[in-house]
Order: sequence, then structure tokens, then C-alpha cells
Amino acid sequence: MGFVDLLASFVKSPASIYSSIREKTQRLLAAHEAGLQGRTTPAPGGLPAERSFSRAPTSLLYRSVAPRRHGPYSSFRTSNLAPPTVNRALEAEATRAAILLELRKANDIEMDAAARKAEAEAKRAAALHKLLRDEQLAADRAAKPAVSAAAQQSLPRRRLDMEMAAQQPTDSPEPLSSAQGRSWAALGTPSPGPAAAASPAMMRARAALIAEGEHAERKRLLQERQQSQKEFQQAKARLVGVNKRPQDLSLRAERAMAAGAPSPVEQSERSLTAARAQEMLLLEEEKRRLEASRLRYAAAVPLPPDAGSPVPFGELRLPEVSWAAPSPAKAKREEQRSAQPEEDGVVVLSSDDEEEEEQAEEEEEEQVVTEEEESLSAALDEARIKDEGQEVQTRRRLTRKQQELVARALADGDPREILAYHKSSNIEMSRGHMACLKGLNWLNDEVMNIYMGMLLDRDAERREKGLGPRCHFFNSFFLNKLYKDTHTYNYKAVRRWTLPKKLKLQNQQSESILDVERVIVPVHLGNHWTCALIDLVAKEIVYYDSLGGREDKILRALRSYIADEYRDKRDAEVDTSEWPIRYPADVPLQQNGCDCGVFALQFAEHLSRGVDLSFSQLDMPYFRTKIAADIMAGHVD
Amino acid sequence: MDQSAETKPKVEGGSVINLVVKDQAGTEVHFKVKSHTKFQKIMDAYAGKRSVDVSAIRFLYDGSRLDGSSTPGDQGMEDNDVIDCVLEQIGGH
Repeated sequence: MGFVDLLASFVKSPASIYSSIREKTQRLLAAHEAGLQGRTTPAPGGLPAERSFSRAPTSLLYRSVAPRRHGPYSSFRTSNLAPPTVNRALEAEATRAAILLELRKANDIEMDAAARKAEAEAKRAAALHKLLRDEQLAADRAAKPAVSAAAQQSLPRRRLDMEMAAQQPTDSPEPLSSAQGRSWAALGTPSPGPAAAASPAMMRARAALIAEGEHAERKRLLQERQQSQKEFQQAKARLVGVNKRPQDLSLRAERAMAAGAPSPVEQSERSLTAARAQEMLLLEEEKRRLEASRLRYAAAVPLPPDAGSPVPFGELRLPEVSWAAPSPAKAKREEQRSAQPEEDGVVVLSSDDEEEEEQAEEEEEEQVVTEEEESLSAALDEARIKDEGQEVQTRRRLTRKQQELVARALADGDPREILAYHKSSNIEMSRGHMACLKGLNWLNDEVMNIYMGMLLDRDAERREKGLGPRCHFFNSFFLNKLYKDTHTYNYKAVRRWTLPKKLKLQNQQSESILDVERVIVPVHLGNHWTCALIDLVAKEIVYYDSLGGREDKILRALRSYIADEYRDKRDAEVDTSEWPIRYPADVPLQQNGCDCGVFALQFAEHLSRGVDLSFSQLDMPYFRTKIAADIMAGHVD
Repeated sequence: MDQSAETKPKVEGGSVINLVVKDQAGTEVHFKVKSHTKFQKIMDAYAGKRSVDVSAIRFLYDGSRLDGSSTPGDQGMEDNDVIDCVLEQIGGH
């Protein structure tokens, strides 16, 4: 029975393989003893069944023919020298190595879903492989119980060190370990190294496992293995982060631009696209890290239900927030937090929904009693947000009614189903379009424009209440028509957009946009949303970009637009060419590659109330749900 | 390039007007339609002609969104009015 067959049968019937392994272990023991007594190597013909299974002769062979100081794929070169049984094992390894190599390449380009899935499978296979090896090890250990005392301490945890150890030529007297180290290196995966391979704790555990065939234990060990692999990947990601920090670099570049060194638009666009691929990769790693730590908490500390946690949002998961490369200190803090009971976060709210929010809080406290089934992961999410929120002292929460709306909006279903309709902007919001508010998805024009329409409605309401400033909101295509489509300024294309009857249709209360104080223009830059403000009172153009970019040409077009609008609608000559174009220094910046649309909408929303932009990346998960709730409710609270 | 292209949704009486659908590159497609023809028909015809998914394009008339259920008559459209066809937009960073 060859190694590959054994592996295959192991996958098929784990129960039966235990008995067969037990048998084989005993036979192997006998064979080995016989070998020790009789010859230096077991007779090739003597024990045909066990030969392929026995590691001792194989590894000796490895040792004699394999060059020691070659790279990870050294074992390939020996394959045609090795006997057929070894060949098969090597082939299996080579195939796996090739697969892993391919996967890594794929990872480097883009971490697409298919590759991730395939990698998961490869990992599972690797985990099985490892288990098998350990069982063999245990068998061999039964024959040769001497284990170096130095090895006692190490556990296959510190993956990074291990990999390095595996890359070094090993001088362990134990042939098994070195062979294994090499084969792990050949796989290109982290090797437990000779010391870890001999870890008595693991081996004892596995020996007991073989003896008793305990299913649960096996599963646990498998999980442990997968977890360690995850940790290794994260550690690697962290290393990459330290070395490169593409995200930070791109942000820094953008900030530098904001600080006064505008670089060509094309260049920044290109760097952004390049940064995105890297960023998404980091994001994936970060997500996996958070998932892993959540699993660990879930296993270790059953948290008390959080008094402030929201009702489950159906399919909605609050988006993970990606920060700079995670530090060990942070991980430690997270662990501490999970052990501590939570204290209530500081609530900073805008004045006009404070009352409602307070009511909602009371409501929610009552709910908690009835909602013991509150999922643990939701509580953990809340805990994380709370902790991070404390750092900047902001924390916002949806009312229960809003949460229900969100659950409905973001639930799975037919993407063509119309969830909401906004009359004055004449936009039907389908489930498919609404889904862009989930997680870390990019926002689409439908969400931007329905929200602009709703802000116009709210502006009308605010004017009735005597609240200012008076605002007008264009849709996201306005700038396309005015300037971007042709890259030439074209007032004629949008001249009719602001005719009194058109404004009325959009629920603009003023007869002309020149009567308002602020004109807010969402800006779409290929794959980025920003927000421009024409301040007709201060007579300036202000640009709000969550990446800190600059768009002089577009803003100059807006400046000219106002002059033309005066000329066309008022028959007046107003020189706007001296109006300053301003890039505020304190614009909240996004820390990831996906929330710009949410930022742009919040710039618009805050500017139209005339309040400070007192939010940050931390608030984006909240705002995503809030926007979904607003769209469902048909108006912005 | 499609300047002269004309597509005629079926006409049976009623006042007929000429509408121009203009995309973001400035390409125009002309339609002769009755004032009570639903825009859905025009949209589908346009999407078919340009081989685009109708869900990926938006039709704007003087900046306001057209939906499939309304008609040129509802919008008070006149002969040779221009409908802007714009592509969906998406952005993350």
C-alpha cells in the first residue's frame, strides 16, 4: 500500500484506518526490531507490505542521495534516483508543491475566491498529510523512544522561526526529522522543524490517538494545525506589511499631495489601482486574523451577553475594519478585553437625534432580557467596535426600528426585487443595488443618487423648520455631463438641469440653485467617490476627498458653472474666477479601499446640516447600516 | 458613427416625436416614438442595439432619471429632445 493510497484511504475512512495503522505500527515495530537485530537496512523483499510505509529506509535513502544544501525543491531532483515507492511519495509532494506554488502566484496577483477555496483544500490535504506523518513518527518513536530533552520545550506554534529553521540544513541525528524538514521545505509550507517534530507532547497525544482512535481528539488536532497555518500566514502578512505597507504608502502619497505637492492625476490613479490589489490582500489577511481570534475567544471565554449589542441583523455582519498592520500588543489587548466585562462606551451624538437614541437605548436594554440567544460573534463584534470606538470617543447606534429595516434591506433574496422607491429622484432601489452597503462593498451610483434625492427632501423639511443652510444636491452624473465625459467644460449639457420646473421635480424648494447657500456635488472619479461643495455664501469651492486628493480641473469647472448659471438664469455677470478652491486639511480619511462612497455621502450629509465632519473610519460600519435604514425608511433622519 | 441609425418602436397613431439617446462618448441613436410609448421600450431597444445590459445604464432627461413606466408625454418631451444615457458608476477608494 503506497503512501498516496494510504492518504486516500485515510480521507475516505478515518475509522478503518486507525485499526490498519495500529496493525501496521505493530508490524513495523517488529520489522524494525528484526532489522536492528539482523541487518542495517530491512530486506527489500522481506516485508513488501510495510516497505513503503516504513520511514526509516526511505529517509536513509533520502539522506544518501539528496543534496543537503539545496532550495525548497531539492527533493525533486532526487526523485528519479529513488525507488518507485519513494518516487510516488515524492510525486505526490511535487504535485502538492506545484499546486501551492501556483496558489502563491495567484495570491500575489489577486486573492480571488477560487484561489482561496483551492488553498483551503490544499491546506486540508496538508493537515492530513501532517497528521499521517506524525502518526508514522509516533510509530517510529515507539521503536526508538529516545527523544532529545531540548526538544521538549518547543511546540509547533512559532511558525515563522520554524520555517527559517527548516530552510537551514538540519544536523539532527534523527533521520526522520531531517527528511521531514526537507519535505516540508519542498512543500513550501512552514515546517515544524526537527525540534518541533520531536515534540513529545504532540507525539504522545497522537500515539494515544492511534491507540484509542479518538475521533474528537483528531479533529481538535486538525483544527490546531489549520489554526497554526493561519497564524503563519498572518505573521507573513504582518512581515509584508512592515516591509511594504502599500496602503500606508498610497495614503501617504495622497496626503503629501494634499499638503501641497499635486502630482499628475494619471499617476495617482495608477498607484491607487496598484495599491488596491495589495490592500485587498492585506484586508483578507486581516479578516482571517480576526476570524481566527474570534474563534479562539469563542472557545475560551463565553462572553456575557452585551447589554448594548444590537439585535442580529439577519445576514448582515458588521464590516471588519482594517487598520495598519496588527501589532502583537493589539492582539494582547484584544485578549484582555475578552476576559474583562465591558464598560459602556462614550456616546457622542448629534443633538437632533439624541432624544430618539436615548429612547432606543432604553428599549434595547429591555430587549436584552428577551434576547439571550444573541449570537456570540455579534457580541464580539460589538466589543471590538466598542473598544476601538473608545479611542476616538465616538459611538453611534441604530434604533431598533432602523435595525429591522437594515435586516430587511441586506437580507439575501432576489437581487432584482425592488426594496424601496424614492419618488423625486425616481430611483427604484433593488436588493442587488442595496447589497453594496454590505460589508466592505463599493458603493454604486444608485445609492449615491437616491441618497442625494433624500437629502433634498430633508432639506425641504429643514427649511420648513427654519433650519439652514439651504442646499441643493446634484446627482453623480452632473459632473460627467458638465466636464468629465468629454474632458472639456460643457455648460450646455447641463443648462436645462436647473430650470425651475426641473428643480421642482427634484423637490428643490428654491427656484434657482443660485438662491441656495450650498450646492453639493458628488464626484465620481473612475473608482473613487468624493464630494465637492460650492459655497455660494463664502464664495468658494471646497473639496472633500477621503483619500486627501485634489481635483483642480473639476473644481474649476464647477466655478465656471456658477458664472454660467448666473449668466443663463439671472442674466447677470458674476466673476467667479477669483473664488478660491479649498482643500480642507482636517477631512476625515478612509483607512481602507472600499468606504469612500460612505465617506462621500457623510460629507454631503454633514455639510448640508452645517455641522463639523466629526466622524472617522470607525463610524463607517454604522453609517453603512444607517444609510440602508434611511433608504428603506425613505428619508434621512 | 451611429448618427444616422434609426430604430422604430411600432407606431400606431398618436403624435410621433423624434428622440435622441446620447451616450457618454457623444454617440447618438435616434428614435421615432409616440408620445405615449413607454420608455421601457426605448431603453430595451437601445440596450439591444448597443449590446449593453439595460441594468448597467441609466437614462437621464435634463438630469432627472427616466423610469421605464413613464412616457415622453409624461415628461413633456418635444421633438429632438436629448436623453442622456450614462453608465452605472461604482467606487470604493
